[in-house]
Amino acid sequence: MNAVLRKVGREWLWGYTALFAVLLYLPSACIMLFSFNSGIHIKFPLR
Amino acid sequence: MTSGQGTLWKRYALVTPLCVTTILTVLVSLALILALSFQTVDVVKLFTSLTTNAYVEELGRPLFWRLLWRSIVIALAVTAVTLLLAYPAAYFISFKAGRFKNALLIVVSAPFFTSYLLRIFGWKIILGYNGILNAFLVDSGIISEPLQTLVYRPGTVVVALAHAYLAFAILPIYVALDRIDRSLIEAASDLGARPHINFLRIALPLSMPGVVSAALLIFVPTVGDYITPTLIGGPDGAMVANLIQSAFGKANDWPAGSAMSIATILAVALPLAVLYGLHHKLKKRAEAASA
Repeated sequence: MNAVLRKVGREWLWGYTALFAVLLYLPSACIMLFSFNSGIHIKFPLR
Repeated sequence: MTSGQGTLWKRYALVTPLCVTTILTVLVSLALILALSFQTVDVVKLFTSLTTNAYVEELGRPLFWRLLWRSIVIALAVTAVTLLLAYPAAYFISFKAGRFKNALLIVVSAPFFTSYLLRIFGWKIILGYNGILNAFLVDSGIISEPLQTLVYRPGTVVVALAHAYLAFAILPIYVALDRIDRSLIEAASDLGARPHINFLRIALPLSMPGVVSAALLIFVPTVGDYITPTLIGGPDGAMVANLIQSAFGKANDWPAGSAMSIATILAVALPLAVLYGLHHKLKKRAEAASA
């Protein structure tokens, strides 16, 4: 367990940067996803 | 003409386009706003008599001060959130990414080629009543009814603005971190300093000029933002720029809008002057340490 925690402590920046990239692209990806929706209202699940 | 005078002339010639552009686009506009703030709404009397009516009326309204205070608080929150999110990413790119450094910089900058307005709409799609987050929470059985508190709140404005200005924060912090002499960190490590001490005593203080530059780049446009509060702020998320925009738009009261603009500029200039002084001091300290 301690070894895992130490590893997480050392490598958390990699995971953080990956999550950060997801956050950066999230709104643009949602716009792209929403372009497949029908109608003018923002409604999920997409139809 | 001596060669010294020639060099001086060339130097002035280089900054002339910048000076002309600044004078035309910033100073003339500001002078016009200042002149308008002392006028009346009456078009017959426009530019014929000076009055402080717009200041007395608009600055006497509690609504203006309430929205100005909210704008400053939201801008400070956006600045803090953005810096906290951007710093580890900039640190990773500068210290850990190795040969992927340039690729990661492109990855970080690419989403910002999308229109600002579209990205704000993206947050509306995520956080809206029928949005992705609510749909996920309802479908997974965590909640039975969609939450109404996700959008049209000051917090939503903070999230959307923090996302919108992330690239402006990462780049100056990355530049400041990349300039740090790696031999300082190696020397500290050789002398037994642990990684967190290296970070707290070397990387963080030497990158502070970049952090302050980023804070300035985020804080200034955020205080005056009006698109984001209009789209996803709701009544509780309205900011002072919305009031100014309505004075120039629907109310057609340009002197009132100008007076509020001047008051906002002055109110924002004070924390900015403090930040600028801090930036100057930290930059000198970082340069002295790197020398």
